[in-house]
Amino acid sequence: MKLRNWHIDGSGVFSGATLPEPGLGDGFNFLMGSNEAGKSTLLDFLRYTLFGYPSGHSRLPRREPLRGGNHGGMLIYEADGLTYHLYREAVNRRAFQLRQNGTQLTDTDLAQHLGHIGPELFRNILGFSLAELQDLRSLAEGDVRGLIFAASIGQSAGRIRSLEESLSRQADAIFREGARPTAQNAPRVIKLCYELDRVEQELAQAIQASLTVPEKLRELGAKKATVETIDGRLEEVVYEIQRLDRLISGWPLWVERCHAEEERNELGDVSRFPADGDTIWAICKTEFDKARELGQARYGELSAIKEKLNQLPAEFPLLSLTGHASELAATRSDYDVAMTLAVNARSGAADAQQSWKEISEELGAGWPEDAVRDFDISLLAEDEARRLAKEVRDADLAISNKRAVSVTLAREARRLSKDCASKAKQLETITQAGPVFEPGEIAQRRASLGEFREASRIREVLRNDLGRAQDHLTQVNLFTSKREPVESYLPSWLLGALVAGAIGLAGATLVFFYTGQQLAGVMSAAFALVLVGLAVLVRSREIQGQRRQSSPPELKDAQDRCAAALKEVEDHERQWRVRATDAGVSWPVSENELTAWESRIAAEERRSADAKDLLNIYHELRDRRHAKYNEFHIAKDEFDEARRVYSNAREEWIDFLRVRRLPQTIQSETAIALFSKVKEARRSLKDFDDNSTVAKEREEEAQSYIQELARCLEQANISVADSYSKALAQFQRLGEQIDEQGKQFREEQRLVGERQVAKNTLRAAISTAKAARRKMRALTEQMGVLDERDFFDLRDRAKKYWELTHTVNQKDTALATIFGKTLPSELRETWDSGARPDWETAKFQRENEHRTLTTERDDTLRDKTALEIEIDSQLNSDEVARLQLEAEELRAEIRKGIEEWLELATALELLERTREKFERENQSPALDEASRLFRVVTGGSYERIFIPLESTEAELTILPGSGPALSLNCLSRGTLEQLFLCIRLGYVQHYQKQQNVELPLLMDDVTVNFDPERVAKTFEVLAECSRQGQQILFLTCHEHLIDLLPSDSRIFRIRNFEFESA
Amino acid sequence: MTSFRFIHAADLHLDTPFTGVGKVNAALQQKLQDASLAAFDNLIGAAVRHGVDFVLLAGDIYDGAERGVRAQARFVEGLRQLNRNGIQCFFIHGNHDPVSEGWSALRPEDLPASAVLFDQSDAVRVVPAVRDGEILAVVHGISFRSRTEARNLSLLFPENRCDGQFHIGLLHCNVGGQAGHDNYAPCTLEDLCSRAIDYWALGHIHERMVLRSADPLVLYPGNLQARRFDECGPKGATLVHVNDRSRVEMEMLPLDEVRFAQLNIDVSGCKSLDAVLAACATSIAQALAQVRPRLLVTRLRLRGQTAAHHDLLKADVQGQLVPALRDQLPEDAVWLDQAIVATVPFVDRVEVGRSGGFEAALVQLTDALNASDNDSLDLQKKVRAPLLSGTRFDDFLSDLQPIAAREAVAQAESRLLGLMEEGEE
Repeated sequence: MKLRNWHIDGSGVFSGATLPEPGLGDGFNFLMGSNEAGKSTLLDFLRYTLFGYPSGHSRLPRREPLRGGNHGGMLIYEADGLTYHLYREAVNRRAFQLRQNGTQLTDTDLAQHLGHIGPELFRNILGFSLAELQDLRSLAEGDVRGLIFAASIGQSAGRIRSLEESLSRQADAIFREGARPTAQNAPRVIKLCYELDRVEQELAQAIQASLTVPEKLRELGAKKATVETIDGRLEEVVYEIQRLDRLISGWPLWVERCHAEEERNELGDVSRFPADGDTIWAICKTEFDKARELGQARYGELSAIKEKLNQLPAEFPLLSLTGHASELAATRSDYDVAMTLAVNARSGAADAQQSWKEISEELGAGWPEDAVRDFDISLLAEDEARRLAKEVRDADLAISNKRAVSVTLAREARRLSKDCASKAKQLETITQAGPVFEPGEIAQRRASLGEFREASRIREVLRNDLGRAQDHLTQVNLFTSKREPVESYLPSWLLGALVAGAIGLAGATLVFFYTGQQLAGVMSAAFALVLVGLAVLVRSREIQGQRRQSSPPELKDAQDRCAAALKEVEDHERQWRVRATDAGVSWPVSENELTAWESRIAAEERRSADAKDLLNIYHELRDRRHAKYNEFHIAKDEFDEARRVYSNAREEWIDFLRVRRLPQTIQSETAIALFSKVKEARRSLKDFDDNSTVAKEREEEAQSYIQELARCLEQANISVADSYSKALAQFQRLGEQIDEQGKQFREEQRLVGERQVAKNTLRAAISTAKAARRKMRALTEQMGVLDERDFFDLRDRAKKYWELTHTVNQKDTALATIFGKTLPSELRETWDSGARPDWETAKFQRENEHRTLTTERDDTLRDKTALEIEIDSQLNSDEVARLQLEAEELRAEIRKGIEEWLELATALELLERTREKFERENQSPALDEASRLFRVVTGGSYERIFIPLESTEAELTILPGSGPALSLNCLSRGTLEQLFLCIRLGYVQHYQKQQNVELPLLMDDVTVNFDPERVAKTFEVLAECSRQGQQILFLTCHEHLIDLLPSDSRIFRIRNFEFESA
Repeated sequence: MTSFRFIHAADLHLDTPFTGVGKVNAALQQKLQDASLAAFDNLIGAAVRHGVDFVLLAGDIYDGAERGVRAQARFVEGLRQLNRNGIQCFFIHGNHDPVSEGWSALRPEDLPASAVLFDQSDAVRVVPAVRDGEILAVVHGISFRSRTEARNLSLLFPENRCDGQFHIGLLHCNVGGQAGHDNYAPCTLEDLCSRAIDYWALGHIHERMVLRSADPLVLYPGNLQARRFDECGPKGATLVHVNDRSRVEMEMLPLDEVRFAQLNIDVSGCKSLDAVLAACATSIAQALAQVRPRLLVTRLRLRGQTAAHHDLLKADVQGQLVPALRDQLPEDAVWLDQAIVATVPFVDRVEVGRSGGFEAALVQLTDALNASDNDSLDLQKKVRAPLLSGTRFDDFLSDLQPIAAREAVAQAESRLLGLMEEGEE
C-alpha cells in the first residue's frame, strides 16, 4: 500500500482539503506546517480513515470538523498496481467504502492491503506522533512484543541467574579483589593471607632470634671469663680480709700473752718450789692437824671411860656360874629339841617305814645318787617346798575367790546404786507432784476434815433449831400481839371474797340505777353481802382456834429458846470460822468442798504412802549398797592382801627353787614329789633305825640335865625346889642375875677395850703429828726457806709464775687456733715497734671491695644464667619449626583456596560467555535491524540493543561501544527517542518482509529532541528506507530539515488549512 | 679387601616444614613438625642397629641458617651418638647449607671426633674411613661454596687411581639436569664415570635413583623425609654392603616418619555419596596398611562419571566432604589433606550440544575454547587477572599451560552442566 492522496471532508481545521497533484510519492514525503497548522489532525485523519474512528468514550481525539464539512473523508492509495478509494465517515465509525475503479470491495480486501495489521500496531509502529514515539509500553504490547523480545528464555533465565549468583557468592567468599582482611565477612583467602603475613612476621622474628645464638654463645663465653676473673680477685680479697680479721682478733691475745710473759719473767726463779710442794705441805699440815685433834679427842674419851669404870662394881661373883648356866641353858634347849624329836621320831617311824617301803617298791633299783647325796637338804626342803607350794596355791585360790567376791560385790553394789537412783527418781517425781505427809499428819488432816464435816452438820442443826425457834416465836407473837397486821387475821382468800362482794354490790347498784329493776339490784346486793359475811365468819373461827393454843409464858419461852439458838449459832460460826481460816478453807464449808477435801486427802494419803514405801525401799537399797560397798572394800582389801600374800609366796617359792637350783618353771608338785621321793627313800634307809635311838639318848640327856640343874642351883646357893618347875623358875631367876652381872662385866670389858683403843689411837696420833712435822721441816729445808712465811711467799710466787705460764700457753693455743702453727712475724714486729697498724680500716676497705665484687659477680652470673636459659631455650625451641609449619599450612590453605576460586571463576567466566553467546544468537531480527539503525543514528556510540536472557519484561538493554550494558533509564531523552525510532524502523522492515506487505510510515515531528548531527543521521536512515521502497510521510514544523531530504522527496506545505506543493 | 658397610643418605632438610598440607589438628601438627628430626633419629638408630662402619650424608643437612638452631643441636646430638658407637660420619654442604652460610650456632669444636665435615669448597678433601686402624675406604668430598653453585664439582675429583682402596665420592649435584630441581653443580654421568671413584654418594635429587649400578655405582638415595605431595612414596637411606669393589649390595631403608600419598579413586560405580565415602575409606585403609606405623598424609582425587557427582559437588562446596571422610579415619594414623572432586555427571555432551538452549550454547562455547589454545589461555588469563593485580599470589599460581587451561575449561563446563541439571531437577 502506498498512499497517493486524500480528501478531508471535515476533520478538525481541515474542510475539503486535498493534496495538490501528483500527490504523495513512493519514497520520502515531507509535509511542513507551522504549529496549529493541522499536522496532528492529518495524522489522526489518516489513521482513522484506514482503521475507523474512535468512539465517543475513547481517549483518542475524534477531530470533529471545526470549519464545516462532513466529519470524514476519502483516502486514495495504490496496492498491487491498482488505485483504491477508501471512504469513511465519523458517524459510522467502523463502516467504510472501498472502491476500485467503481467496484465495491470488502473488509478482507482492506485487511489484506494493510497486511492484517491492527489499528494499535499501526499506531505504535507505522503512524506515530512524538508522544507515541516516547511510549515504550506500546512496544511491549501485542504482536510487537512477540517480535522484539524473542531472545528471552523466561523462567529458565532465573535459573541461570541463580546459578551465576551462587557461583559468584562462593567465589566472593573465597577471594574478592580489594577486600579488607579485617572485615567480618572478608574472603577466606584474604584472611589467610593476612594470617600468613602475621605468621611470617613472627617467623622472621623467631629466626632472627635464633640467629643471635652464636652472638649469645660468645657473650656467654665472655661472661664466664668475667666470672672467673672476679672469682680470682674475690679469692685474694677474701684471703686479705681473713688475714686482717685474724690479726684484729689475734692482736688482743698477743698483747695479753706478751704482758703475761713479761710479768712472769719479773717473778724470777721459782723452780726450787716443786710442783707438788703445796700439796705436800697441805697434806702434812692436814695430817698434823688431824692427829692433834684426834689426840685431844682420845684424851677426853679416856677420861670419860675412866669415870664409867669407876662406877661399875669391882667384882662379879655369879659370873663364875655363867659358863655352867650357859651349858645348862644349851642343854635345856637340846633337851627340848630332843624331846620333840623323840616324839616326832616315834610318831613318824611307823609312817616312814611304810612310806619307804612303798617308794622302794616304786623306784626299784633306779635310785638317784644325787637324791641320796642331797638328802639332808631335801629332807628340809621337802617340807619347805610343800609349805611354800601350798602357800602359793592357797594364795592363788584366795586371789581367785577374792576377785570373784569383789567382782560380785561390785556388781551388786552397782546394781543397787542403779536401783537407788531409780527409786530416788521416782521419789522425786512423787514429791514434785505434791507435798508428802507422814501417816500422823494424814490422820490429823482426816480428823480435821471430820471435824469440819461434823461442824457443818451441827451448823445445819443449829440453824434448823434457830429457824424452828424463830417460827415458834413468830407464831407465839401472832397470837399474843394486840396490834397485828391485817394479813395476820385476814387471809387472802377472804379479802378476795370481800372485794368480789363489793364489786357485786356495785354492779347491783348500777343495774338498779339504769334498769330501775330494784328487785334485781337488791338481790344482787344481798347475795354479795351474804358472801362477805360468810368469809368473815369462817376466818374468825380459824383465828379463834389458834388463839386458843397460845399463851404469854409460851412467848417468853419461845424468845429464850430463840435467843439461845441464835447464840449457839453465832458461837459455832465464830469458832469454826477461826478454824477454817487456820485450816485454809472457807466457812461455811459446802458439801462439795468437803468432798473435794476428802478426795485431796485421799490422794495425799496415797502419795504419801507411795513416797513412804519408796523411801523405805530407797533406804533399804542404800543400806544394802553401803553394806555391799563395805563388803566390796573388805573383799578388795582381802583381794589385795591375797595378792600380796600370793606375791610373797610366789617370791619365796621362786627363791626356794633358785636356792635348790631348780628351774623356776618347775611345778611345785613335781618338786615336792622329787623331794618326797628322796626323803622317803632316805628316811626309809636311815631314820627308821636312828629315831628310836636318838629319842632314848635325848631322854637320858634330859634326866642328866635335871640333875645338873639341881647341882648348879645348889652351887649358887639357891634353894632347890621340890618340883622340876620350881627348879626351873629358880634357875630362871639365877639366869637373870647372871645376865645382869654379865652385862656389867661386859660393859667393864668394853670400857677397858675402848680405853685401850683410845690409848692406842692417842699414841698413833702423836706419832702422826710428829711425822707430819718432820715432813714439813724437810720440805722447807729442801726449798731453802727459813720459815713458813718464806715458804708461803715462795709458794705464791711459784703459783703466780705457773698462772702466767698457763696464760701464755693459753694465748699461744688461742693464737694457734687463729693463725695456725706459725704465728705471723707481723705480730712480733708490731709488738716490738709499739705502733699497731689500722687493720680495721684496711679490712673495711677490703670488705667494701668484696661486696662490690660479689655484686658484680652476681650480676654477671645472673646474666650468664639468663643467657644459658635463652640459648638452651633456643637450641631446644621448636618455635621456628612450628611457625614454619604454620606458614606452610596457611600457604597450602591459600593455594587450595585459590584453586577453588579459579575453578569457580572459570565457571563464572564460562557461564558469562555462554550467556553472551546465547543472547547474541537469540535476539529477534527486528532488534538486530534496530541495533544496526541505532548504531548508524548514534554514530557508533552504541553497539547493540538486546534483551537480556532473564528478562521477563521489556527490559531492553543497550550495549555501548565501550563499557557495560545500560538499561533504558540510563539514556537521555533524545537518545531514547532515537532508540525507539530505530526499533520501530527495524520492526517495520522485519514485519513487512515477514507479511510481504508494504505500508506507509507516518511520523509527526519525531526528531524535535534530536541534536542536528543525529537528526542528519536519522534522515540518512530514513532516506535509506525510502530508497528501499518504504513510503514515508514525515510531518514537521521545521523547514530547515528540507536540506536533509533526499533529492527525490516530495515536499508539501500546509498553509491556511490547505495543502500545497513547496 | 675387607668388607664393610655404610649408610648413604642425603637431603635431610632437618626441621623444615611440610608444604602443601593444610591446617591439621594440634597432635598431628607436632608430629609433622618433628617428622624430619624423627627421621634423622631413625637414621642414627638404623646405623647403630645395622652396625655400619660409617655414614655418608650428601649435603642439605638442613634448609639454611634461618631454619633455627634446633636442627643443628639435634644433628650434633646424632653425631655424638654415632661417635659413642664408634661410627664415623662424613658429610658435606649442599645448596641449602653452603659453606658461605654454613653453620651458624654450632662451632667446629662442637662436633664429635668421629664426624668429618668436608667444609672445603675449592678442592676435594680426602679422608679415609677406618675400622680398628684398618682403612676400609677413602672418602672424597667437597661442599657447595654458595647456594647457587654453578661449577661442575665432579671434575675436581681425582682422575687417576693410585691405590687399591675403595673410593667414595661424596657430592651434592644435579646429574644430567634432572627436572624439578635446581641445576646446581651440574655434571653428567660421563663426568662421574671419568673419575677414579667406585661409589658416587650423591645428594640433591629427592627421588631415589640408581643412575649407574656398577663401575662406578652412582646413586641418589633420595631425601630422608618427604615434605610435599610431589614426594610420595617411601623415603629413607641406602644401606650399602661392600664385599669387594665389584660386589656391592644395596638395600633401601625406609626411615621416614610421615608418608605422602595421592590416591586416585575411580568412583564411577558409586551411585550415592555414602558409596563414594566408603570407596574412599577403603582406598585410604589400603594405603594406610602399607605405610603403618607411619603417619599417612593423603590427598584424594575422585574421578569418573558418577550419579553422586551433584552430591559430591554440593558436599565439597559446603566443606562437608573432607570432614565426613576424616570422621571415618583413625586420626592418629592418617590425615586427609584434601579431596579433589574431578568427577563428571551423567550428561551426554553431544546430546546436550544438539538439544539447543543454554546448555547447548555452553557446550558449543567449551568446544570452541578447547579447539584453540589461545582462547582457553585467554580465558584463564582473564580469570586470573584479579589475582595478578599485585605480586601477592604469584607464588600460589602455577604456570599457565594450554593443557591445564583446557582442563580448567572442561572442569568448569562439567561443573556448570552438573549444577544446571541439578537446578532443573
